[in-house]
Amino acid sequence: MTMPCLQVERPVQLFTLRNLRDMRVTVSEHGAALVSWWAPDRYGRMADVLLGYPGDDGYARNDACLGAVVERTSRVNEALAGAAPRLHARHWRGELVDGGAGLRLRPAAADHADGAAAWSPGSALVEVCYRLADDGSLSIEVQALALAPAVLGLGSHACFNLNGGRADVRDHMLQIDADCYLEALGGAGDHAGDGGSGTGWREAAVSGTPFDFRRPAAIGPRLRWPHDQIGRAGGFDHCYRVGAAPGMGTGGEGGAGGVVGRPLRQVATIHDPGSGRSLQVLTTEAGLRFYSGNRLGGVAGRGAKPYAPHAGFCLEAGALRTHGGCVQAAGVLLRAGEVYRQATVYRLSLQA
Amino acid sequence: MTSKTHRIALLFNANKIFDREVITGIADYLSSTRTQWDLFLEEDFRLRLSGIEKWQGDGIIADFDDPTVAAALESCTAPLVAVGGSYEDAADYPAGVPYVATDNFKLIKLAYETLIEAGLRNFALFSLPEARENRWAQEREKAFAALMRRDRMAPAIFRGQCTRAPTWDEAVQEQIEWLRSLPKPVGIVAVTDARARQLLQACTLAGIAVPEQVALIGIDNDPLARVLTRIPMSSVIQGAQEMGRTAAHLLDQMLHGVRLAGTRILVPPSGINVLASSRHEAPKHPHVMRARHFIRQYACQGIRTDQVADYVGISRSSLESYFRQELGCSVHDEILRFRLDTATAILERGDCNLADVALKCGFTSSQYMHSVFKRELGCSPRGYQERMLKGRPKEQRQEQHCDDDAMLAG
Repeated sequence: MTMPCLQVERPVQLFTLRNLRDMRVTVSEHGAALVSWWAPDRYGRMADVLLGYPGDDGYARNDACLGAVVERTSRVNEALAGAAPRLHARHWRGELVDGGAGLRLRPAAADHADGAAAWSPGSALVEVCYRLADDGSLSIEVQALALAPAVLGLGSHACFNLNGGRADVRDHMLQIDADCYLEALGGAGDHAGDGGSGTGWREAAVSGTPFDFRRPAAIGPRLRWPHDQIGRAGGFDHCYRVGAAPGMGTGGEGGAGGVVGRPLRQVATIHDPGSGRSLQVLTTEAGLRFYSGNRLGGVAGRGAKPYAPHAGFCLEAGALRTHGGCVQAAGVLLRAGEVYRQATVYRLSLQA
Repeated sequence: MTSKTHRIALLFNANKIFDREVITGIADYLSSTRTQWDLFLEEDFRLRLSGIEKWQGDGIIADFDDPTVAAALESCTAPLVAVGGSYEDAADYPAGVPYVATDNFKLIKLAYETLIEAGLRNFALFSLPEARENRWAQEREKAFAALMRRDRMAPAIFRGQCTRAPTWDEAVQEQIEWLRSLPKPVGIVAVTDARARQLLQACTLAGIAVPEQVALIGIDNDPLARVLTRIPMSSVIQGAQEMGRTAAHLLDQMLHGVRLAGTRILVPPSGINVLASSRHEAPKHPHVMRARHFIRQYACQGIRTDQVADYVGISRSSLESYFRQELGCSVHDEILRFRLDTATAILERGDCNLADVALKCGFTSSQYMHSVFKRELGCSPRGYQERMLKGRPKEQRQEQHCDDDAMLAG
């Protein structure tokens, strides 16, 4: 795909947010991507806890969607294990807000003409706001106003490695507050439907499987537990249903559910014993996709060598449509004029 | 889906913290699933093997660090999952048995890298005399030697004597001689917390300051070893619970007909508890180091500045001027800081009586402790406690309780 000529008035910019803990978060207008997040370890040494490309041209293409605002709904099996996300929009325009404490980005006007990438931006006005707080919280707030009926499955594909890349993430200790996850069904030909019986996934209980992270466990050994879902995706690339227990088969929102904001709550924690860094994930959303970096092999990142599989992980929050307490599809369905808000917070701290 | 109840034997010595944690992991797996197992465990948690080969059960999870267990199960035909330490040489693993291992290399590497990051440049390992029961200790030596070679240093490894009452004094003397022979400051990794505790005691006897001269890290994060030492001891936490969950999952799969003979899963450490024994800092004036060594040990017993000066052997005023110069605070400030640290650590653990905490930490009264909290932390002791407990996930608090339980039982 060749890129269309962009009618932009100024070159693409990088923005940096800072806090009192000497943290620095850099965001590119390419893909609204999180480029780097410098944070101290147990001994005060700074390192970048995000995977990324050596230069901004990497973000212009961003085939691996590193750090970018991504989209998870379309015709193909978005919720299936192993499916790669796509960029929501290639080019964004950013402006600092709140006296430099926050950064607001909107897809650049030129992007709407980009037929290949613009699969839906025309039908909703989307803006993303990054804020870095002094307690080490990076909040990502997404707001969308539907101009026409639209399906949106927005999330942040920030790819972390809490040890700053000294080793892969298999020794990270992960904990996810979820009793169920979405298990992929059948072969690659299955389609994820909107409510039909032939959906490409099924809600499955985590108990007795490698997906059970209700108590903290290292990722590496779980990759070795015998389980066909792990084998199929080459690791974890599955969506968990997080938050309040739905009480199987009862309650739940209506078909278009999830538009009304839920409260922000903690859904996952991941800790790297080596550096002492911990990452808490809080979100308003019902879905949390855990990706163990299975497709990172060969991606030319900032290190001396290309990334290897499991060089990083993503904990990507996103909307799930439920009906009668059961997950129907990824993303939210918006009627014209409806507003959707999503907030996800990544909080970096030190443990012992 | 209902399945029949299986009879499973757990062959562990559950008097050891590591084995207990593995069993906890197995129980955790069972309680999270609908798997029904009748567990066979010796009543007094001791390991007896007589007749195990004749036992009519459906499956076994066994501690293969004990060579007699491995030998007794040689001709066992029931589904079997082995749990033990990792080996550098793949040929050392038992053939044809699925094996869940604690990653000895990563345990040592985590301890070693923590010492490097604490600013140390000399390193040593305190191991155990070679025995059939502690092949893991030799594996940890190999890991340490490999890391030293990688970083172009000569590995300093001391095995010492095994712990026996008649030779105790001699063993301690040897440890002291070894400690004195090492270039200082030195970071020492001990192969277990029990070993680390002995060395800490030897340091105290020999008047060697921890962590200024010798920084120390153990393995196991054993609460018993922690309460027996005056200087809070750093320790690497093994992923033993996850090993238990993994072993249970493997056996569960085998009982459903999955063949896993060659499966080997290495579990990395689940964390490190960094406490005072490894918090090495840039060297200070010897008088200051000596004073802080004394303060660390006795701050909670209500010592005063002149007692510290007496211990160091200089006048109170010159000690004060050294403190001002090197640390920018008074001797009294340093004592208070240590008391405050101890108090916050107790409060973070949960429910407690404030008067007891004040007494335990060397404050003359709970009112005085209150005023120190207000001044230094801007909140009351209770306020501090509420803030800490609220900010922490539920999980951790529960584990803390488990620790306490294990301590009482042990």
